[in-house]
Amino acid sequence: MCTPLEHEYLRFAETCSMESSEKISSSSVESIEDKTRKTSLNLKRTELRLGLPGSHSPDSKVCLFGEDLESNDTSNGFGVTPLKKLGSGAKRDFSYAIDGPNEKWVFPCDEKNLVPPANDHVSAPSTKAELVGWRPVGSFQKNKKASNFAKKSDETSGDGGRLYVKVSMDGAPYLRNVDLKTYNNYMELSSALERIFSCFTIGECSGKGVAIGCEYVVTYEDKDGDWMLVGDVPW
Amino acid sequence: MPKRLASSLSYEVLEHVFSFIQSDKDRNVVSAVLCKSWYEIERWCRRKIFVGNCYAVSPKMVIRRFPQVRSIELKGKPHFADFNLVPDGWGGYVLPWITEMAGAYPWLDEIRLKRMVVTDESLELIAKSFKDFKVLVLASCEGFSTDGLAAIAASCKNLRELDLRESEVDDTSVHWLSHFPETYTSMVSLNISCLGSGEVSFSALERLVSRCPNLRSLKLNRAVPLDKTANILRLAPRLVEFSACTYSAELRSDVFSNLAGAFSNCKELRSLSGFWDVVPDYLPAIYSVCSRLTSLNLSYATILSPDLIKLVSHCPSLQRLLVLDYIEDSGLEALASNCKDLQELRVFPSDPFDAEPNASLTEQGLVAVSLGCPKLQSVLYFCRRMSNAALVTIAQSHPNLNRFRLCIIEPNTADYLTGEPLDVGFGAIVEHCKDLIRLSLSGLLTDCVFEYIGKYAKKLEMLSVAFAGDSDLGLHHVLSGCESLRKLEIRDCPFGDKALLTNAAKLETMQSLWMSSCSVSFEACKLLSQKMPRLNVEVIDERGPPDSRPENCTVDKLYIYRSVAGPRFDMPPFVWTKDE
Repeated sequence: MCTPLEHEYLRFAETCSMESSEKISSSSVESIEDKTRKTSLNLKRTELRLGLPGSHSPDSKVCLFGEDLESNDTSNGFGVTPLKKLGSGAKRDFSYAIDGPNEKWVFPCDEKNLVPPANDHVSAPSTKAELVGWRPVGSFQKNKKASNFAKKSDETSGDGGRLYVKVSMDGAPYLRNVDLKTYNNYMELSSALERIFSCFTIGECSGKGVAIGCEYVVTYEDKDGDWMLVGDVPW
Repeated sequence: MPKRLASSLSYEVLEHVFSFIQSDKDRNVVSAVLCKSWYEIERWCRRKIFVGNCYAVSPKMVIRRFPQVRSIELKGKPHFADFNLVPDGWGGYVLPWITEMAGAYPWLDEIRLKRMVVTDESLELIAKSFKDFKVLVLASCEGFSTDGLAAIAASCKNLRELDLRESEVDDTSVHWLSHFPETYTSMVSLNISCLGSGEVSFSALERLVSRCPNLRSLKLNRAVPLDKTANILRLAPRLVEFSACTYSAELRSDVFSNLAGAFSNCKELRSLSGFWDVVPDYLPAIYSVCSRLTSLNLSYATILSPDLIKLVSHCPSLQRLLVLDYIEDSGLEALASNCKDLQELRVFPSDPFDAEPNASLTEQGLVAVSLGCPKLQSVLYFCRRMSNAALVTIAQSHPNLNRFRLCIIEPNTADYLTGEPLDVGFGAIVEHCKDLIRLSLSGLLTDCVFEYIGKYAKKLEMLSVAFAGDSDLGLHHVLSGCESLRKLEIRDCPFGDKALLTNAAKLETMQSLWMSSCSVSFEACKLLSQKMPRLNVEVIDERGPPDSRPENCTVDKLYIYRSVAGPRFDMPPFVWTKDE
């Protein structure tokens, strides 16, 4: 369980703080299940320190990231004298402990090197412009499935009551095949297309279907090679 | 070891002893840890090299250290290249390696490549340079055409294995199979399942198969029709692995009985795959071999659950099954009751982009297999819902799981029963499955799950994370806790500079780290690459120069890997490293 204990995870020569805080018992799984969970961590402060390993004296401590990760307070705890002594902008010196494979590094922090707090993070997937590579089905598998149906659509229709048509969207890494017989009208087709290409679009398409207050319209290439607007010919 | 004891064993004795040490890890210990004479002897008698990242070391360095190599395996692009996350032109070129080895290793007889760019020029160089060439495996490779294959076919008289699994091959209309001379009879394993329909000539194929008596593994492409399939099987009745081809649309009893007869001749057949466009009516043609089958790959077959259930009920010896979600929970329950030897299960989504499930496959199917198949070790499962309870059940019933990859298709999907994150469920997996070496996470996950992973997953070597975590703490837990971690790949997680910089040293103990769509700044990347000379820090950004964007802008993709070869010189314009 992740209890809101101090999480001073950035320290020299110190084993990971979670071992000391004993949040997870190695007893049966029921104990993990029983414990309440918090989805946010109540960190007092996260710190980067300069100094040799083992020098835990508070005097040598320099607070570089003095902010609480929970808050958006960007007034950084830089008002500590030792940092000022190092000067600003100059190439920093740093010390580190080399004690085997788990050497712990810290880095001096330039004000310029500050990045926004971690909770200022990537927006939720639904607002991301593109979800390339999700779902993580191997591209070979994808290509094979696409070409599987593409092969069917090259043959004559009426193959087992299906009518597959290849649909391509510019910028999408691969085409899709749709079975026209599963839709009863253009509206259903356009919302299905919107759905299956939704991971690639950045604009919004109104659910009302084609050509109604919509950034995109659905077109198709007919047998003469002309691009036609969907909707003119009855379903 | 006392010096006099070491020198009292002659070179020949030590070499003979070392020849029994096959595993790479053990050989590395022998050569690096013990004493100088062992180091010397080992380097001269090392025959097989595995390079997990082709940029971690240079070909010259390998050749200098190991002068007498006969077999090499190289891997190029990171794993996420399989999901189109690595832009074309990133790298992974094999030509520099082939060029160096052509001069240094005249007796090289095996080359195995994965996710590399292989050109026709490389293939021609292989054909020309290695007189006794025997094994060529190109897995998920690209950049070559049938011209290059023709060069291999024409020159490699002793070729035993040609395996092009999942590679992209350009068709130049060369009948490359016909380039195997009539005197060529050595083929043991041929995998051309990735080739398109125009690239294989049946008559050349039949002639090749008929004159290779040692052929044991044959994986053809999908363009071979059923009657040809039967012919080929009759020409190679000692096949152990076979990839079956296109099934025609309508059932014809003469074709059916010909095929069934051909299959029943193949007493040694243990592994079947392919099954593109299969019509269920033809499936009984393989029933005669089903009882001996240990591996079945139906992941291209659009067969529905009732037919799948019938099929697996004929396969009690099955150890490995790859299948689409058409199998449904009911099919997996049948699998669980019929196939007690099952070790590996992979269930792929038939329509991954459909919001609604088109097949009734849920977490229950996986639980059923977990409870029914005591030897289950490796799982790759795509589904649309999961619960902590199910994961706990799986974990408790399978402490011997070593690979667990779960993909809940919609990102951030919570436990469907409780609405909570799946931290506890995955925590149970890492706590109980102490030998877990590979894990892929999905669903709604907070920093807690990473705390569990850091605490328990001590043998974990590869971790894949997407849309998970709350803060840098998540990444920190993994980097500071997972002692055996070699490969970490992350996408769309709120992990940033702090965790990365704090654990910079850890990165040198790992093979590689991939982070895309996370919160790492370009400044942090620059700092990391300045301070860590043995890491190559690559910022991959097709949007333009990373320092031309506002300071708070995060990098698009980051690939960090340890290297003794220094920076590479074949980078495309969209990759930035410290010398830029």
